Amino acid sequence: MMTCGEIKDVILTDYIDGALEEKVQLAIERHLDSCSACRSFAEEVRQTLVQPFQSSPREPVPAHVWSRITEEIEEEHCPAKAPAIDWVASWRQWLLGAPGMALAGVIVCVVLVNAVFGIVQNRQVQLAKDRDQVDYLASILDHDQDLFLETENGSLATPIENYFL
Amino acid sequence: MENLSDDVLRRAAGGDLPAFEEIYRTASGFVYNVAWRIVGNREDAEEITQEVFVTVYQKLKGFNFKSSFKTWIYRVTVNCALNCAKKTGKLRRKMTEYDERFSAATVIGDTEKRIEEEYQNKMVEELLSGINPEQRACVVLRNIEGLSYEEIARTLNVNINTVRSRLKRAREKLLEWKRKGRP
Repeated sequence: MMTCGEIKDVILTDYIDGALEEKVQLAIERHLDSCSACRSFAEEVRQTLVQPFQSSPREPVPAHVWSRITEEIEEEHCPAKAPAIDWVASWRQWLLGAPGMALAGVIVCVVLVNAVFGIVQNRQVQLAKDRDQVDYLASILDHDQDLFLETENGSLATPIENYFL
Repeated sequence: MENLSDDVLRRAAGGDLPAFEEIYRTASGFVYNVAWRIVGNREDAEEITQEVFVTVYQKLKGFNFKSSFKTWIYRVTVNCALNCAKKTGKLRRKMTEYDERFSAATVIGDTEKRIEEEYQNKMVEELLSGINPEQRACVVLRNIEGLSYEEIARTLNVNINTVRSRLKRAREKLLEWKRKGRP
C-alpha cells in the first residue's frame, strides 16, 4: 500500500508521462478516486507542467541555416585559393591606416624627446666647460697672488724687478 | 526520423549532398527546436543546428550502422545545446530580448493566433528558464519531443533512474515556482 507522498512522487514522473505498467496505473487511479488531495495534485501537475508544453508551437527552421551548412561544408572540402597579395597596395593601405598613423606618431614622439634631451645635454656640457674655465682662471689668479706676496725686504716686486730697481 | 533509410545514410556518408539534404529535411526541425528550447534563443539555436549538421556530415563516414542514427543525432544535438547553455548562460539575457520581440509583435497588431503562440512560447521559455540545463534537456525531450524515458537515457548517456530523478526535481521546482506566483 503506497502512501500519499509516494503516490505524489509517482504522479510527478511515470504517471503523467504514461510510463507506468497497467497494474500500477490502475492502482494509482483507484487511489485518486478516493483521495481528493492527490487528485487535485495530479490536476495541478497536468495543468502546470504538461499542458503548456503540449500547446507550445514548433518553430520552423530558418531557410538560411541550410545555406550556411552547405557553405561551411564546401569551404572545408574545397578551400578557396588564396588571392595573390598586392604588396604595394597593402603597404600603402597599412601606412594610411591606423597602424601607419600610430607608427608616425611614435616617430614624432621619439624625435621630440631626442631634441629636448639633446638641448638639455648640450646645456649641461656648456655649463661644465664654463665651470672648468672659471676654475682655471681662479687657479691662475691664485698663482699670481703668490707672485705678488710681500718679500722679506718688504718690497712687493719680484726678485728680477728688485734687481733692476 | 525513423523513415530515413540506410541507403540514404550510406550515400550521405559517401559525400552525396542530395542524400545529406534529405537527412537535413527530416531531422532539422527536431534539432533546431530542441536546441532553441535548451539554450532559450533563436540565434544560438541556428548556430547549434549548423554545428550539428556539419558534425553529422563529417562523422557520418565513421557511423556504425548497427546503432540508431536517431539516438546519435539526438545525442549530438543535446550535447551541443548543453555545452552552449553552460558556456554562455545566456538564457536570462535572451529572455529580455524575447520579451522585447513579444511586445513589438503585440504593438504591431499581429494576428490573434500569432499572439497566442507568442504567449505560449513565452510561458514555456519562462518555465524552462527556472531549471538547470540538464533538467531542461530532460523536460524538453520528454514534454515537447515526446521521447520515452529509455530514449532520453540513451540520448543523454545516463541511467534511466537519473532521467526520472531529473524530471522529478525539475517538476517539483516548477510547481513550487508556480505556487509562488512565477512565472
